[in-house]
Amino acid sequence: MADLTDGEIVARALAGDEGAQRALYETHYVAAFRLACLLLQDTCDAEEAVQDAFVYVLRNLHRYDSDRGSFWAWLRVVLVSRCHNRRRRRQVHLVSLEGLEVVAQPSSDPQTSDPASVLEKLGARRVVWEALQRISPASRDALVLRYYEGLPYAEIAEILDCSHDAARARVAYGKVQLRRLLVASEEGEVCVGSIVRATKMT
Amino acid sequence: MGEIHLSEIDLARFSQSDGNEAQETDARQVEHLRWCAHCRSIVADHRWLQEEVTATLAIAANALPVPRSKWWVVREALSARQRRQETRWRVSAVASVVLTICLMLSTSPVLSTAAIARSAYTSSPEAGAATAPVSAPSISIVTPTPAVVRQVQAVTPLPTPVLKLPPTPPLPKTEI
Repeated sequence: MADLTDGEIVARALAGDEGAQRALYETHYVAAFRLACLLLQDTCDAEEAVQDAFVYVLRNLHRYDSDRGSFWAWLRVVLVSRCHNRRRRRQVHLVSLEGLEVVAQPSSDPQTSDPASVLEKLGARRVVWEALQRISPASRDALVLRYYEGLPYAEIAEILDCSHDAARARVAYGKVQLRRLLVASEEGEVCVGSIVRATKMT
Repeated sequence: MGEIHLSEIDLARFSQSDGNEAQETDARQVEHLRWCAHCRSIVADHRWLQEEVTATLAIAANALPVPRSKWWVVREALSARQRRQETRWRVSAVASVVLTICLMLSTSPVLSTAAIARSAYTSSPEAGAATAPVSAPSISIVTPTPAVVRQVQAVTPLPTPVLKLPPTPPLPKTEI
């Protein structure tokens, strides 16, 4: 399977080849999990969202159009949608604020790595990471898609089901929220850059 | 000096603009930024934030403890769905066959409800007992057996009542 393109693997999976289906899953699992985790800020939810997305995608492989984009691009659209659904359900149950803190808490197990503890070593970036968890989910989604996935606004707009301008606005608003949080966290300081630059030096 | 600064959201959007979006950028913002150090510093903050967010997200994503992939969960979900679909197909196929048979029975003249009721009536033991005396003599009208003929001859005919008409009165004579 290693020397086959995504399109060929999809064709085999569509013909009922379970090995090909598994190859698609294994190839994209880690990337999908990381993206879901950044969007949901919860590893359990992220794992379930990834499984939901894969079940949907493998069941509806006949809908995949390779001319419209890569398999990962299609999976990403489905995954973001699943993450939104999961977050909506979580908001209904009013546990979102606690859930947002899960990833930020330092791990008690020294064997496992987690973003907060890794970023702790890097100093300033922990502040940015914690601020990222406090901004609105819509803005965080846009920031993750823009700066983690590196997508153009047109694609972000398609994934988030909004206009090109709205996608740009969400990214901008996310940055505004981030800057305000960073400024608020360091009272008396004015410039965010200077705060973090100062933190880096200490 | 009462300076009017640009809104932060506009400055954030300005900081996001790359080569493709430069044409869209409002010339007024460029002109304002030329002389406003405050707004320039906010734009610088946002550009710095972009880099920090990119780096932070990349580091955080790589630091995430990725659980082992559970292909079996996905496979189970897929096969469960397939099983449910097959069961649904089977049930609907059986239901349609039963429905077709019922329709055929109800529309067939031979197996209409009246015929079924009649056959049910004749086949029941009570119905047999009731009809037995009626069919017992089994006398054929076309070819009477000698015994029947003898029976008929032995029977004395009932006396036929004699009809006696009164005498007709004579016509009255009329004089012309």
